[in-house]
Amino acid sequence: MNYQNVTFLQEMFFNTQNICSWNMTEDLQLVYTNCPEKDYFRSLFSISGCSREIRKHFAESSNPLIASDKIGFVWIAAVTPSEEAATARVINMLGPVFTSDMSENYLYQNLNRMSLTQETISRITRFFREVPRISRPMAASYAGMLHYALHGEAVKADDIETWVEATDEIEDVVWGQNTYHGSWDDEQRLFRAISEGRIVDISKNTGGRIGNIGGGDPLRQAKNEIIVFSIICSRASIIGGVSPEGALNLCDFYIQKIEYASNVADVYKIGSDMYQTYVSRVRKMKEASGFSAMVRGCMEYISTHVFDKISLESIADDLGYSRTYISRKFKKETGTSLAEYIAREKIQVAKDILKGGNITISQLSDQLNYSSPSYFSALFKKVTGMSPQEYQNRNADDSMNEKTR
Amino acid sequence: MSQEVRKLKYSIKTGIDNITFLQEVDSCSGNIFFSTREGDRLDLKDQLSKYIFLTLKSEGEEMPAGYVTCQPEDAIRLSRYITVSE
Repeated sequence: MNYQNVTFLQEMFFNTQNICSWNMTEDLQLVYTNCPEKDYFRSLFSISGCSREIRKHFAESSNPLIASDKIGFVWIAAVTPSEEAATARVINMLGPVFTSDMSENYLYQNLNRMSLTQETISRITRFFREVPRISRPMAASYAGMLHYALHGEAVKADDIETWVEATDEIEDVVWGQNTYHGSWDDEQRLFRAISEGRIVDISKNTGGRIGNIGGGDPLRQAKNEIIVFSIICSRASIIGGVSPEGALNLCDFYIQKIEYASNVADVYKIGSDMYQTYVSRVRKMKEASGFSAMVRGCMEYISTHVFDKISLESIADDLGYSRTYISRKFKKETGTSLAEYIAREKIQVAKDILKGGNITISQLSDQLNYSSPSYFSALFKKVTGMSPQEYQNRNADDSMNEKTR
Repeated sequence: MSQEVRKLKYSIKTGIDNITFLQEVDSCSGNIFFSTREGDRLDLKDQLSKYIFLTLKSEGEEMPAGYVTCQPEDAIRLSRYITVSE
């Protein structure tokens, strides 16, 4: 570890962003801080769930962590490498910061619900106004920079872990975006990537932020952002070759999922899954470009109606060809029967939905318009080699293993 | 026998460790309220209230003028930090 790098980084964050640095032992004894209000913020940290979680996290992992408490204070933490046996590990933290759209209106609403004098409310809002605000992608970038300074190697975006303290009420204040608008160029790059069927690391895309569209409510802010993102994805995918009906049906599906989400972390997870689905659809359309227009039409119909009951008859009616002709030509060009292709597409969607959790096999079978859960399960097993329940359990285990790594 | 349990008022002792005090509050069975002389009332089991309590404390060396109200059994648990004021 290069101590000069770490010191430089800490000074830079403090002098340019007003973000304080903290060095703590593994049991959270303070070693160093440049925070002028160290006793106060250390107290806030100590009584929040973040302190327990950071201590627990670094007992098991060396990945950086972004931890958020119920109020919205965020602490960005990384730890020195464990290979340096001569010295005990040190947890380096930046914070506190706000990454949510913790607008004063929102804090004001919460403070006004409490039995406080106007003077106390003014004092508190004045104090909280001093806490730096950064966007969520910037928090992830800073976590990466801190890790790099300590380890001398970059960390993958997926390895930057996040933890959100459970809230009791609707004041889920943690993740959201700042009120500034970001770079138009970054937004254009993202749009282009989707239309070309490329995955880019969207956590590094610090531009293209949407302003305050949540009325001060972080959950509404997150939902509205991802809804806007879904519209961008759908338009970009149409440019990429996905049919308008297919893209818009998918958009409707995800908007419903977004609206049902009950916390900000879930909203952003849905956004990430949605982004990957759109890119995958564009890629598929590009791969299919070698097929005849009729076969591409079949594929597009199936993709658009994946949640409906699809029959050879419905495809033939839609495309205006005879059933025999479609069936023969599809098999000849793709090497797969139409029935097998339909099954594969529906099962792929089933797999994506099962990864998200929170759905029973019976509900999923209904959603995909199968005649019975048992038929759906048998088909799923035939295509994937495991039952839907086994697949869901395996993905839940993988997800748990990732968190405890 | 009266079913009403009288909540006594308690002063917070000077020089206490705020963090361990608030952590002890979380282990109490009933509500623990801190009321300032100006009229603020904080439920010390609520996270935002805890932060406000610490903010008020941080702006002066002494505790802000006020008192704690709680059930007698919780007062016993918090006896290291509070003392009866009336």
